[in-house]
Amino acid sequence: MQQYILRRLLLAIPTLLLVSVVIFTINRLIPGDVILSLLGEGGRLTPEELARARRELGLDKPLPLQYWDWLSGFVRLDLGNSLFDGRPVTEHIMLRFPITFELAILAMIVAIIISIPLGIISALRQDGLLDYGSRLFAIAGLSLPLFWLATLAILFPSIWWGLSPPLEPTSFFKNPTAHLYQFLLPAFILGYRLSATNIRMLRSTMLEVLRDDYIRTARAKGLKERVVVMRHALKNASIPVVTIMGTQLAFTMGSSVIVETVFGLPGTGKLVVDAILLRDYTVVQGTVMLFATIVIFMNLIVDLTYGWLDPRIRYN
Amino acid sequence: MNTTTEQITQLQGLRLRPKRNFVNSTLTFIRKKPLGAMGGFILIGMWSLAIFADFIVPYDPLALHPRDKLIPPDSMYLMGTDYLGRDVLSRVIAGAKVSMYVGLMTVLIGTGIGSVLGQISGYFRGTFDLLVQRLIDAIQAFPSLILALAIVAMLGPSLENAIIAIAFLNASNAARVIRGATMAINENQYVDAARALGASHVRILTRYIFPNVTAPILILASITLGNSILVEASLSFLGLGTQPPTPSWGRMLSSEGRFYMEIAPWLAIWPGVAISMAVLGINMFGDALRDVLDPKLRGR
Repeated sequence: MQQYILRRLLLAIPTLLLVSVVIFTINRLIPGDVILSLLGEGGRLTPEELARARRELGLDKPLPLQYWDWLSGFVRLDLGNSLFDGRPVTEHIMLRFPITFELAILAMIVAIIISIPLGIISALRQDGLLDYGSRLFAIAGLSLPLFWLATLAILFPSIWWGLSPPLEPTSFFKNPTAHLYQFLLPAFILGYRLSATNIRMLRSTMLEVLRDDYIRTARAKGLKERVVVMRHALKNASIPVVTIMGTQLAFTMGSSVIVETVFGLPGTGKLVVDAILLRDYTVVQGTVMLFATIVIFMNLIVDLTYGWLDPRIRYN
Repeated sequence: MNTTTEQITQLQGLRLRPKRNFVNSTLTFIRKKPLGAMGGFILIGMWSLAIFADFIVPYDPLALHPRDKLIPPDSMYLMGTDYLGRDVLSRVIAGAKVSMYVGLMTVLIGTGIGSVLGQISGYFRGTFDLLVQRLIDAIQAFPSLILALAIVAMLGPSLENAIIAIAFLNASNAARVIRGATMAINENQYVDAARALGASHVRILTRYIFPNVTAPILILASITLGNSILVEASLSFLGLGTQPPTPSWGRMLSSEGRFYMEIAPWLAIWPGVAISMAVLGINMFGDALRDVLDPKLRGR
C-alpha cells in the first residue's frame, strides 16, 4: 500500500506542473497589453511609466523566467499581489476559502441525506411509480440550471414573505441561526444538484449488487429484507458512490462561482468571477491554481480509497 | 456444409419477428422508454422553435415598446414584457435559437475533434498518447465552469468565444472516453485479422474502429449537449457568454433582469423554464438512448 501511495503521489506532480503551465499560458495569451487593459487609460501613460509598471509586475522578463518566478512563488505559497488592490492573493484566498469550503461540506451532507433513501427505493422498486418519480427528481436535478434555482429561492420568499438573505456574511460564533440561514439555502440547492448524480449512481450499483449471489444467499438464510438491503447490499453498493463524492468536490468548486454570485456569499467562487470582471489576473491565476490543486489531491485521495477498498487495483 | 447453409438461409427467410420499420421501432421505443420518448418530444419541440423562431415570434425580440414596460402576462404579451418593453415570449423563442446553436456547435466541434484525437491516441498509443493523456489530466483537473470562465476571459466575452471554450471542454472529455473505447476495440480479433490482411492504419481506423465507436460517440454527444447548453447559459448569466442585445436564456436571468424581478417575477420564470425543459428533454432522451445503444446498461 505504501508503494502504491508513493506511486500515486509521484504521478500527481507532473499533472500539477502541467496544470500550472496551462494556467500560466491562458493568462499570458490574453490579447493586447495587460497593463493597458488594467489601467484602462493607457493612452495617458508615458512610455517610461508603462515600462516601469511592466518592470514592477515582472512582465519585462522572458516568459520562461516569469513562469519560474510564479511557480516558485506558488510553492512558497506566495501568489503575488492583487493587481486591483495590491493585497497579497494568498490573503484574499485565506479570507474567502472557508466560506466555499463550508458551502461544499454542507452541500455534500444535503446530497447524502437526499440520495441514499431515494437511490435505495428507486432500485428496490425498479420500474415502479416510486422509481420513475425518483429518476425524474434526479434527472431534473441535472437539468435545472443552478443559477435559476438560486434566483427563484431568493425571489419567491422575498415576494411572498418579504424575506431576503442578509447582504453581509454573519459569523457562526456571533449568530449561529443567521449564519445557518445564510448557508442552508445555497447548500440545499447545490446539494440537490449533487444528489442527482448520487441517486443515479446508487440506483445503478444497487441494482447490480441486488442480483449478486451473496444477496441470494443472505435471503436464503432467512434474513429480514431490511438487513439484506442495509447490511449486505447498501454497504457494497455505496463503495463507488462514496468514492465518487470525492470527485464531486471539483463540481462543487465550479458551481460555487454561480451559487456565491447569486447569494452574494464572498467565497472563492465569487472572488474568481469578480477578478475576471476586474481583469485582476494574479488573483484569477492564484485562485484557479488553488481549485486545480484541490481537485488533483481529491482525485488522489479517491484513488487511494479505491486502492484501499479494492486490493486488486493496488497491484495492477 | 451445403445443407447447413441452406438451412440458415431458409431460417433467415422465415422472419421469426415482424420486419422492423421506423414506425414500429418508434412505437416500441415509446412503450418501453416513456421518459425517453417524452424527452424526445420536448427535444423535437425545442428544435422546431429554434429552426422556425423567425417565423413564429409574435414580435421582434429586439423591438422596444416603451409604453409597455414590465406588463404582466396578458392576451397581448403571453409571457409579459421586460423593463425595456420587449416581448418575453419572443425573446424566449429567439433564445432557443442561441441555445440550440451553441449546443449543436459545441457538440459537433468538441465531440468531433475529441473523438478523432481519442481514436488516434488509443490506436497508436506510445508517446503521442502519453502526452495527450497527461494534457487531458491537467485540463480535467479544472472545475469545468472555472476553465470555461478562464478561457472566455482570455478570449473576450462573446457567443463565439463561449462556444470555443465549451467545445474545448467537450473535446477533452470525448478524447478520454473514445480513447478507452478504441483501446478495447483494438484488442478484437477482427482488427488483428484486418491487420494481418495488410490493411493500412487509415483503413483500420475508418472501417473497423470508427463504426464500433459510433455508439459511445452518440451517447457522449447526447450527454454533452444538455451540459453544453447549461454551461453557455451559466456563462451568459455571469455576463461572459452571449452579449446584448442578442436574446439568450442565461442573459435574460442575469443582472440586468434581476433588478426588476421582484416587481415582475415573470422575468425570472420563463427563461428558466425554457432552459430546464430543453436540458431535461435532452437528458431524458439521452438516458434512453444510452440504454438502447449500450446493452450492458439495459434496465439499470
